[in-house]
Amino acid sequence: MLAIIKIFLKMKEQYIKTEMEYTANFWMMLLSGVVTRIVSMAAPFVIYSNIPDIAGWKRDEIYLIMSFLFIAEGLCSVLFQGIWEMPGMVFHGRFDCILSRPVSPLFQVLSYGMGLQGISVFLTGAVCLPLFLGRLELLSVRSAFMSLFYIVCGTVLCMSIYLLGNSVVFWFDAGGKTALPFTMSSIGQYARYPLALYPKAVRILLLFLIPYGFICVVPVEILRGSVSFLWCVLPAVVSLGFFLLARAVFYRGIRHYESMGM
Amino acid sequence: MIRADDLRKVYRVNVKKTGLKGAFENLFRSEWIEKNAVDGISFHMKEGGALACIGENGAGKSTLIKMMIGILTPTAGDVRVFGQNPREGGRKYLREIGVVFGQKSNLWTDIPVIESYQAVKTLYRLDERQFRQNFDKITQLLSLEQILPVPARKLSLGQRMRADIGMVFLHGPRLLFLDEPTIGLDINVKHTIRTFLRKMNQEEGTGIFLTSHDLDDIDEICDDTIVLSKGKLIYDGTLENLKHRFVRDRMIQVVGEKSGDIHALLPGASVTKEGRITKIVYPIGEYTSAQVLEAVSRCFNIEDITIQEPDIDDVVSRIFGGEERV
Repeated sequence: MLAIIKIFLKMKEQYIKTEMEYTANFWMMLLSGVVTRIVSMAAPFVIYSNIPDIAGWKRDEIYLIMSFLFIAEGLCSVLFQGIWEMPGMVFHGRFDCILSRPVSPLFQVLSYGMGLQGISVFLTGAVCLPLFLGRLELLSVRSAFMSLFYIVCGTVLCMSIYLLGNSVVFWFDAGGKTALPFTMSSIGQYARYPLALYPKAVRILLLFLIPYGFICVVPVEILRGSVSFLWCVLPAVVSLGFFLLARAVFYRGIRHYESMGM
Repeated sequence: MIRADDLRKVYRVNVKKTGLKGAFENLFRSEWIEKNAVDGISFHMKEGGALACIGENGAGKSTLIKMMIGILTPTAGDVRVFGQNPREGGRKYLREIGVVFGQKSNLWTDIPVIESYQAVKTLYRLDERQFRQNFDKITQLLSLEQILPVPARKLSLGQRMRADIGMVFLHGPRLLFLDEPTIGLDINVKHTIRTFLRKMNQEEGTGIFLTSHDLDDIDEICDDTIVLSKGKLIYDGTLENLKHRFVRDRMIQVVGEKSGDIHALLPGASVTKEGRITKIVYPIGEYTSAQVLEAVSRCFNIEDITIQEPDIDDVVSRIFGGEERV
């Protein structure tokens, strides 16, 4: 296991070296990651400057939800960008190379490439999280550990959602692109607001079908102590469940690929 | 080493209707037809052998290779490599083979070639000594020193191909699959690659299975040949034999002044004259070389004479043009 992680980090090191070769692009991507996330934080700012409280949620709590989302998305992009390259690999036949190497195909896909923007998205989240925990007077050793735990769960969950969406390419190829993962991730963005705002159907959608809720809203609900103990373990259960599901679908997809010979 | 037995692969192909109206209909309903990509092929390749597979585009060469690697599952029939089914060999099997697809690179596009090699070393978990040994040999034989620090995307096609072929030898494979390794390369690079592959085959005993359109590849690397056409095996034997079966004409080129009527002596041959050079093309079945030489010596003051080897491209076009069973 340790050896696998070492190889993984070694591959990532290669990619970050490549990205750094294009100096201007490197800084632009970093900057754009920070700017887009800060701009997206402007909406709650505007709303809350007119209304003091929405369904019992304060502005800083919304920012806390966003911090969790940024961190998970950022880490996913830095570590598992390869998932988004998968449709292209299948379309251009590069997937054959992956299948002809004596290394797990999932590992090869995950370790491929690196999303630069992810670094700054992650950093934005990593700065905001302790900042708003502090402003909400939630900062403690216990909450720090809980946050870390939910970040790990959220990142795995985010990766599983991407993997699940992109594995569709094995059945429905559309010129190296698939619309499903983008649709999933843009619907998921609605989970950056308290779920209490939404009708029941949407809540179920954001918790169990496209479970972005467990990446960001649920951890904040747990941290502010507004839910029962059951909810505290649910993020871990859901991310493990979704990971196993995504992995199964991915390998099923490979079998389909092998019988079709695209 | 490789044994295929009545191997078949059938694809289901989606038939798209044309035009905007057709495209609209495709959104709701699509038709499928079955295509026999590989249609009952049997052959054998011996341990440490070098076998070439010739065939026109779409003859089923790539499908065949992919079934032998284990990427594709055969629809019917059986293929065994090292005595086992490639689909069941798993990672242990994949460690023993190497694969090069001429049109796709195995190198990581954005990183220097040397870093790709390092990545292979990590992925295959090669120990330093083994890696060094293979690395030094490859670098020297394929003259890679200058391209090692260059990112793969900045390489010319020839350099990329050399780097790709070098990479596949790093883990010391027992058997190598090459799908059109020399496609689009200039003559020098082709030569380097062919010499290298031949050397590895003869000195290291690495088995080679290669597909190509280019008969020179086969001439210089392999001894045995199989020919595929529309998914079927139409020839299995030595290259020498193949040439002789398909070559019906031979050409003699004479330099010198004409002194007699060659037409009268060889009515079945066609004679063209370009300055002082005369080319005589004659059917092998009709005249023996001795008869032709005798006729030529009577009709010309010979300064120089050459008998042309059967032209290899000619053989190819004849095989696929004729579609005839050998």
